[in-house]
Amino acid sequence: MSSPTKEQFYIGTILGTLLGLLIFALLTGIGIRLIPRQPKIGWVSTVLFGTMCVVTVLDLVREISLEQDKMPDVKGQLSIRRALIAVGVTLVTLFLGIADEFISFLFSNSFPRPGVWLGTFVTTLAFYPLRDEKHADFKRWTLVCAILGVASVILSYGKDWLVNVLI
Amino acid sequence: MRLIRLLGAVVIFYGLSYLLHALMQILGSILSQSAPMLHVHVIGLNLCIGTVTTVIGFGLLLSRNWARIAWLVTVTVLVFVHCLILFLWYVRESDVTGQILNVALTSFLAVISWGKLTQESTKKHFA
Repeated sequence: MSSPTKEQFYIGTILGTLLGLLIFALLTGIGIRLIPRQPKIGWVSTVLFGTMCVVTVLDLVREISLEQDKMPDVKGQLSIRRALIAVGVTLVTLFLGIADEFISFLFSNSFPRPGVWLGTFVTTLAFYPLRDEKHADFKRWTLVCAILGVASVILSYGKDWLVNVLI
Repeated sequence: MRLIRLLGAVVIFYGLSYLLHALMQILGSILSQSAPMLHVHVIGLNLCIGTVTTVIGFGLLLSRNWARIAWLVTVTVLVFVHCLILFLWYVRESDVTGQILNVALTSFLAVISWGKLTQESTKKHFA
Protein backbone atom coordinates (compact mmCIF):
# COMPACT_ATOMS: atom_id res chain seq x y z
CA MET A 1 0.00 0.00 0.00
CA SER A 2 1.49 3.29 -1.07
CA SER A 3 1.17 6.16 1.35
CA PRO A 4 0.09 9.51 -0.06
CA THR A 5 2.64 12.28 -0.27
CA LYS A 6 2.17 15.99 -0.93
CA GLU A 7 3.02 15.61 -4.61
CA GLN A 8 0.61 12.74 -5.26
CA PHE A 9 -3.04 12.92 -6.32
CA TYR A 10 -4.90 11.70 -3.23
CA ILE A 11 -8.67 11.68 -2.89
CA GLY A 12 -8.58 12.09 0.92
CA THR A 13 -6.58 15.34 0.69
CA ILE A 14 -9.07 16.75 -1.82
CA LEU A 15 -12.02 15.81 0.42
CA GLY A 16 -10.30 17.49 3.39
CA THR A 17 -9.68 20.65 1.34
CA LEU A 18 -13.32 20.69 0.19
CA LEU A 19 -14.57 20.36 3.77
CA GLY A 20 -12.25 23.22 4.78
CA LEU A 21 -13.62 25.32 1.92
CA LEU A 22 -17.19 24.57 3.04
CA ILE A 23 -16.41 25.68 6.62
CA PHE A 24 -14.67 28.89 5.44
CA ALA A 25 -17.58 29.67 3.08
CA LEU A 26 -20.02 29.15 5.96
CA LEU A 27 -18.00 31.45 8.24
CA THR A 28 -17.78 34.08 5.47
CA GLY A 29 -21.57 33.93 5.13
CA ILE A 30 -21.99 34.41 8.89
CA GLY A 31 -19.55 37.36 8.70
CA ILE A 32 -21.58 39.00 5.89
CA ARG A 33 -24.77 38.62 7.94
CA LEU A 34 -23.04 40.19 10.96
CA ILE A 35 -22.07 43.39 9.06
CA PRO A 36 -25.36 45.32 9.62
CA ARG A 37 -25.45 44.55 13.37
CA GLN A 38 -21.75 44.46 14.31
CA PRO A 39 -19.82 46.10 11.43
CA LYS A 40 -16.31 45.71 12.88
CA ILE A 41 -16.55 41.99 13.67
CA GLY A 42 -18.55 41.38 10.49
CA TRP A 43 -16.02 43.03 8.17
CA VAL A 44 -13.00 41.42 9.88
CA SER A 45 -14.51 37.92 9.70
CA THR A 46 -15.70 38.45 6.10
CA VAL A 47 -12.25 39.57 4.92
CA LEU A 48 -10.40 36.91 6.96
CA PHE A 49 -12.55 33.92 6.01
CA GLY A 50 -13.08 35.20 2.46
CA THR A 51 -9.29 35.26 2.00
CA MET A 52 -9.09 31.75 3.46
CA CYS A 53 -11.72 30.66 0.92
CA VAL A 54 -9.64 32.03 -1.98
CA VAL A 55 -6.45 30.40 -0.63
CA THR A 56 -8.28 27.06 -0.21
CA VAL A 57 -9.62 27.23 -3.80
CA LEU A 58 -6.07 27.88 -5.11
CA ASP A 59 -4.79 24.93 -3.05
CA LEU A 60 -7.60 22.75 -4.43
CA VAL A 61 -6.71 23.64 -8.02
CA ARG A 62 -3.05 22.76 -7.28
CA GLU A 63 -4.06 19.40 -5.75
CA ILE A 64 -6.28 18.34 -8.64
CA SER A 65 -3.57 19.28 -11.12
CA LEU A 66 -1.19 16.64 -9.73
CA GLU A 67 -0.51 13.49 -11.82
CA GLN A 68 -2.84 14.51 -14.63
CA ASP A 69 -1.33 12.12 -17.14
CA LYS A 70 -2.32 8.93 -15.27
CA MET A 71 -5.40 7.43 -13.65
CA PRO A 72 -5.28 7.63 -9.83
CA ASP A 73 -4.39 4.37 -8.08
CA VAL A 74 -7.45 4.32 -5.83
CA LYS A 75 -7.03 0.72 -4.64
CA GLY A 76 -3.47 1.45 -3.58
CA GLN A 77 -4.61 4.49 -1.62
CA LEU A 78 -7.48 2.75 0.17
CA SER A 79 -6.83 2.04 3.81
CA ILE A 80 -9.57 0.96 6.21
CA ARG A 81 -7.50 1.93 9.24
CA ARG A 82 -6.88 5.46 7.91
CA ALA A 83 -10.58 5.87 7.01
CA LEU A 84 -11.66 4.58 10.43
CA ILE A 85 -9.35 7.04 12.20
CA ALA A 86 -10.69 9.97 10.13
CA VAL A 87 -14.35 8.98 10.65
CA GLY A 88 -13.76 8.18 14.34
CA VAL A 89 -12.13 11.48 15.27
CA THR A 90 -14.78 13.42 13.31
CA LEU A 91 -17.62 11.61 15.10
CA VAL A 92 -16.01 12.09 18.54
CA THR A 93 -15.51 15.83 17.81
CA LEU A 94 -19.13 16.25 16.70
CA PHE A 95 -20.50 14.18 19.59
CA LEU A 96 -18.54 16.03 22.27
CA GLY A 97 -19.51 19.36 20.72
CA ILE A 98 -23.24 18.61 20.59
CA ALA A 99 -23.62 16.53 23.78
CA ASP A 100 -22.08 19.01 26.24
CA GLU A 101 -24.98 19.16 28.75
CA PHE A 102 -25.69 15.45 28.34
CA ILE A 103 -22.11 14.56 29.29
CA SER A 104 -22.10 16.81 32.35
CA PHE A 105 -25.41 15.18 33.39
CA LEU A 106 -23.87 11.72 32.98
CA PHE A 107 -20.85 12.73 35.02
CA SER A 108 -22.88 13.94 37.99
CA ASN A 109 -26.37 12.43 38.10
CA SER A 110 -26.64 9.18 36.17
CA PHE A 111 -26.81 5.96 38.22
CA PRO A 112 -24.18 3.84 36.39
CA ARG A 113 -22.05 6.94 35.67
CA PRO A 114 -20.87 5.90 32.22
CA GLY A 115 -19.37 9.35 31.80
CA VAL A 116 -16.93 8.74 34.66
CA TRP A 117 -15.95 5.38 33.22
CA LEU A 118 -15.59 6.74 29.68
CA GLY A 119 -13.59 9.76 30.82
CA THR A 120 -11.09 7.64 32.75
CA PHE A 121 -10.90 5.02 30.00
CA VAL A 122 -10.15 7.51 27.22
CA THR A 123 -7.74 9.61 29.29
CA THR A 124 -5.70 6.63 30.51
CA LEU A 125 -5.72 5.15 26.99
CA ALA A 126 -4.04 8.33 25.78
CA PHE A 127 -0.94 7.34 27.82
CA TYR A 128 -0.36 4.33 25.55
CA PRO A 129 2.05 6.07 23.14
CA LEU A 130 4.34 6.92 26.07
CA ARG A 131 5.00 3.22 26.83
CA ASP A 132 8.22 1.49 25.73
CA GLU A 133 8.20 -0.41 22.45
CA LYS A 134 8.86 -3.74 24.24
CA HIS A 135 5.97 -3.19 26.66
CA ALA A 136 3.54 -2.12 23.94
CA ASP A 137 0.56 -4.48 24.11
CA PHE A 138 -2.50 -2.52 23.08
CA LYS A 139 -5.12 -5.14 24.03
CA ARG A 140 -3.68 -5.53 27.53
CA TRP A 141 -3.44 -1.75 28.01
CA THR A 142 -7.09 -1.35 26.85
CA LEU A 143 -8.16 -3.89 29.49
CA VAL A 144 -6.15 -2.06 32.16
CA CYS A 145 -7.78 1.24 31.13
CA ALA A 146 -11.26 -0.35 31.34
CA ILE A 147 -10.49 -1.60 34.88
CA LEU A 148 -9.17 1.86 35.85
CA GLY A 149 -12.48 3.27 34.58
CA VAL A 150 -14.37 0.89 36.89
CA ALA A 151 -12.06 1.99 39.74
CA SER A 152 -13.00 5.62 39.03
CA VAL A 153 -16.71 4.75 39.17
CA ILE A 154 -16.26 2.91 42.50
CA LEU A 155 -14.27 5.88 43.84
CA SER A 156 -17.02 8.23 42.72
CA TYR A 157 -19.68 6.20 44.59
CA GLY A 158 -17.40 5.97 47.64
CA LYS A 159 -16.93 9.75 47.68
CA ASP A 160 -20.71 10.31 47.52
CA TRP A 161 -21.29 7.79 50.33
CA LEU A 162 -18.62 9.45 52.46
CA VAL A 163 -20.09 12.92 51.88
CA ASN A 164 -23.55 11.62 52.92
CA VAL A 165 -22.13 10.00 56.07
CA LEU A 166 -20.10 13.04 57.10
CA ILE A 167 -22.78 15.69 56.42
CA MET B 1 -8.28 15.88 -17.19
CA ARG B 2 -7.96 18.92 -14.94
CA LEU B 3 -11.42 20.16 -15.96
CA ILE B 4 -12.99 16.76 -15.20
CA ARG B 5 -11.40 16.70 -11.74
CA LEU B 6 -12.36 20.33 -11.15
CA LEU B 7 -15.94 19.49 -12.12
CA GLY B 8 -15.80 16.52 -9.72
CA ALA B 9 -14.60 18.79 -6.89
CA VAL B 10 -17.36 21.34 -7.67
CA VAL B 11 -19.98 18.57 -7.69
CA ILE B 12 -18.75 17.22 -4.32
CA PHE B 13 -18.82 20.77 -2.90
CA TYR B 14 -22.36 21.21 -4.27
CA GLY B 15 -23.44 17.93 -2.62
CA LEU B 16 -21.74 18.75 0.70
CA SER B 17 -23.44 22.17 0.80
CA TYR B 18 -26.83 20.45 0.36
CA LEU B 19 -25.98 17.97 3.13
CA LEU B 20 -24.90 20.82 5.43
CA HIS B 21 -28.11 22.72 4.64
CA ALA B 22 -30.17 19.60 5.45
CA LEU B 23 -28.24 19.15 8.71
CA MET B 24 -28.97 22.77 9.67
CA GLN B 25 -32.67 22.22 8.91
CA ILE B 26 -32.72 19.05 11.04
CA LEU B 27 -31.02 20.88 13.94
CA GLY B 28 -33.48 23.77 13.52
CA SER B 29 -36.43 21.36 13.69
CA ILE B 30 -35.02 19.67 16.79
CA LEU B 31 -34.40 23.01 18.56
CA SER B 32 -37.85 24.41 17.69
CA GLN B 33 -39.39 21.01 18.64
CA SER B 34 -41.72 21.11 15.63
CA ALA B 35 -41.36 20.04 12.01
CA PRO B 36 -44.25 20.56 9.58
CA MET B 37 -44.78 17.84 6.95
CA LEU B 38 -43.55 20.13 4.16
CA HIS B 39 -40.34 20.80 6.11
CA VAL B 40 -39.70 17.04 6.46
CA HIS B 41 -40.10 16.59 2.68
CA VAL B 42 -37.72 19.49 1.97
CA ILE B 43 -35.13 18.00 4.35
CA GLY B 44 -35.52 14.62 2.62
CA LEU B 45 -35.08 16.20 -0.82
CA ASN B 46 -31.95 18.09 0.30
CA LEU B 47 -30.47 14.92 1.83
CA CYS B 48 -31.16 12.95 -1.38
CA ILE B 49 -29.64 15.63 -3.65
CA GLY B 50 -26.63 15.98 -1.33
CA THR B 51 -25.93 12.24 -1.10
CA VAL B 52 -26.37 11.53 -4.82
CA THR B 53 -24.25 14.46 -6.00
CA THR B 54 -21.47 13.74 -3.46
CA VAL B 55 -21.21 10.12 -4.64
CA ILE B 56 -21.24 11.19 -8.32
CA GLY B 57 -18.62 13.86 -7.55
CA PHE B 58 -16.24 11.17 -6.21
CA GLY B 59 -16.89 9.15 -9.38
CA LEU B 60 -16.04 12.16 -11.57
CA LEU B 61 -12.91 12.85 -9.53
CA LEU B 62 -11.81 9.25 -10.23
CA SER B 63 -12.80 9.54 -13.94
CA ARG B 64 -15.45 6.81 -13.88
CA ASN B 65 -17.76 6.53 -16.88
CA TRP B 66 -20.83 5.68 -14.77
CA ALA B 67 -20.32 8.99 -12.95
CA ARG B 68 -20.18 10.90 -16.25
CA ILE B 69 -23.54 9.50 -17.40
CA ALA B 70 -25.11 9.76 -13.94
CA TRP B 71 -24.02 13.39 -13.58
CA LEU B 72 -25.43 14.37 -17.00
CA VAL B 73 -28.79 12.86 -16.00
CA THR B 74 -28.70 14.29 -12.47
CA VAL B 75 -27.77 17.85 -13.49
CA THR B 76 -30.64 17.88 -16.02
CA VAL B 77 -33.09 16.70 -13.36
CA LEU B 78 -31.68 19.28 -10.91
CA VAL B 79 -32.31 22.13 -13.38
CA PHE B 80 -35.96 21.02 -13.76
CA VAL B 81 -36.38 20.58 -9.97
CA HIS B 82 -35.00 24.07 -9.28
CA CYS B 83 -37.18 25.60 -12.00
CA LEU B 84 -40.21 23.91 -10.40
CA ILE B 85 -39.23 25.21 -6.94
CA LEU B 86 -38.76 28.71 -8.41
CA PHE B 87 -42.25 28.52 -9.94
CA LEU B 88 -43.77 27.36 -6.62
CA TRP B 89 -41.97 30.16 -4.74
CA TYR B 90 -43.29 32.67 -7.31
CA VAL B 91 -46.87 31.36 -6.89
CA ARG B 92 -46.53 31.60 -3.07
CA GLU B 93 -45.31 35.19 -3.54
CA SER B 94 -42.17 34.47 -1.45
CA ASP B 95 -38.74 36.05 -2.01
CA VAL B 96 -37.39 34.35 -5.17
CA THR B 97 -33.83 35.79 -5.13
CA GLY B 98 -32.28 32.64 -3.63
CA GLN B 99 -34.19 30.37 -6.01
CA ILE B 100 -33.12 32.44 -9.06
CA LEU B 101 -29.50 32.07 -7.92
CA ASN B 102 -30.03 28.31 -7.50
CA VAL B 103 -31.48 27.99 -11.03
CA ALA B 104 -28.67 30.13 -12.48
CA LEU B 105 -25.94 28.10 -10.75
CA THR B 106 -27.44 24.72 -11.67
CA SER B 107 -28.04 25.81 -15.28
CA PHE B 108 -24.45 27.06 -15.51
CA LEU B 109 -23.21 23.67 -14.24
CA ALA B 110 -25.50 21.87 -16.69
CA VAL B 111 -24.24 23.89 -19.67
CA ILE B 112 -20.57 23.26 -18.77
CA SER B 113 -21.23 19.55 -18.09
CA TRP B 114 -23.17 18.90 -21.31
CA GLY B 115 -20.69 20.97 -23.30
CA LYS B 116 -17.58 19.23 -21.99
CA LEU B 117 -18.53 15.71 -20.87
CA THR B 118 -20.15 14.79 -24.21
CA GLN B 119 -17.03 15.57 -26.28
CA GLU B 120 -15.14 12.58 -27.70
CA SER B 121 -11.79 13.99 -26.53
CA THR B 122 -13.11 14.09 -22.95
CA LYS B 123 -14.85 10.69 -23.07
CA LYS B 124 -11.53 8.88 -23.62
CA HIS B 125 -10.31 9.93 -20.17
CA PHE B 126 -13.13 7.96 -18.48
CA ALA B 127 -12.74 4.31 -17.47
